[in-house]
Amino acid sequence: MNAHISDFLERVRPFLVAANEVDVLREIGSSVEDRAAGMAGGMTEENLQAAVGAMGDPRDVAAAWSTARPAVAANYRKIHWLLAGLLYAVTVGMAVISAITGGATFVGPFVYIPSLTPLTLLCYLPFAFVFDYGLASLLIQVNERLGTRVGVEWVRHIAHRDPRRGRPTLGRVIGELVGVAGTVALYLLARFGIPHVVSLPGPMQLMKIPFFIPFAVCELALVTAEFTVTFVHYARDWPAFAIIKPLAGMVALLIAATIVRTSAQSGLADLILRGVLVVTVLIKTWDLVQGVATAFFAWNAAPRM
Amino acid sequence: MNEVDNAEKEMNRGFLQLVVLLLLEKAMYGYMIVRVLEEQGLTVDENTLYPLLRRLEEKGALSSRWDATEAKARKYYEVTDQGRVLRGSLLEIWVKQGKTIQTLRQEVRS
Repeated sequence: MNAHISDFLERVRPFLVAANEVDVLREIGSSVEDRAAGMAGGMTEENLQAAVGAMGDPRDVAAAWSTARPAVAANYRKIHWLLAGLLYAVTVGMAVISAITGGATFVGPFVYIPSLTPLTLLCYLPFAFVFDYGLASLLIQVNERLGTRVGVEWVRHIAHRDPRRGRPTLGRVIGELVGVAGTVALYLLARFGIPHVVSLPGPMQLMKIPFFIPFAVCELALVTAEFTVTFVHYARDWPAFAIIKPLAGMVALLIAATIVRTSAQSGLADLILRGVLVVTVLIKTWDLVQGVATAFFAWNAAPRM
Repeated sequence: MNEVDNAEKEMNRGFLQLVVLLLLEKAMYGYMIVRVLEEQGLTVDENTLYPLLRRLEEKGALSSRWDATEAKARKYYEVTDQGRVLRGSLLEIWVKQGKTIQTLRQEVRS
């Protein structure tokens, strides 16, 4: 086969997806030769070059000749983002729990991270989303191969349908602020032991629990992030806040849990505090799952006729 | 590409399938089909025709074989019995569509 044609086929093949690639390439090569032979002067170098040029961009040729179905069909593109978002909510939730329990991070995309530091966290969050996006693609592909269609009805049940849960009221913003103030007080109590300073009597042994300060810091990070987003949401309505608020809370919690990581304690009180924080994370994970679903249906609502 | 060209391309998709099934009663290779259709006044893009031939072959409407008896190897396509059945159905649709257009044109004239 002529060098011009071989070179062209080499540029086509990386973009070609067909059951019998070699056969397809042979046929493309053969059609180029036929085209050149049909030109005045027959199969000269110039005519072969012109025939190759007339085929167009190798990527377009490969797209036209590809017979296999793409990994994710065009009509699944939005569903792809939705699934990736739902998986991401679970991934971040698992990472926070892992950081809180003082154990290693045993979540995707990394099989095992002995210690999640603030630096690895910076890489982890976007990388985890890329991983979940790929996982969503795989799930859709497997589902399609099994002959079933990916539906959204099950996600519709998760989403908030209550319109009152949209833009926050001023009361809700104030409520969030009160939450921050309360948590600041809790932190101060934990950090400086104010009752001891003012010589309050009573069983104020809470400060002696090693996990109390990390607990207060994590809670403070969570409520501060949620208050900030609620405040911005109050100023501007946008469906994405349904995702941003729980995600910001989760990320703040993950950062705090990573920074103030303490080794696992065996004390009952310590265990209870960790348990409370883990339950909080589970609730926030569910909030994030709901947020993804709610924003998805808000963005894909039927147009007003 | 203007609107008429776009519409022609879309209309040709189904039409070309029918034309190919009619033409390939006799075995032909891709470029030969292009030339024959050009002689009939129908210009076909090779990147449209060849993938169509392969799709029809996958569906079982065409069969193919490589012939290397000449200086260069060529893939010849030929209509199968399944292809003839498909061709009959497509012709029925085409005739029905033609009648609809005819009726509508008459209504427009009157």
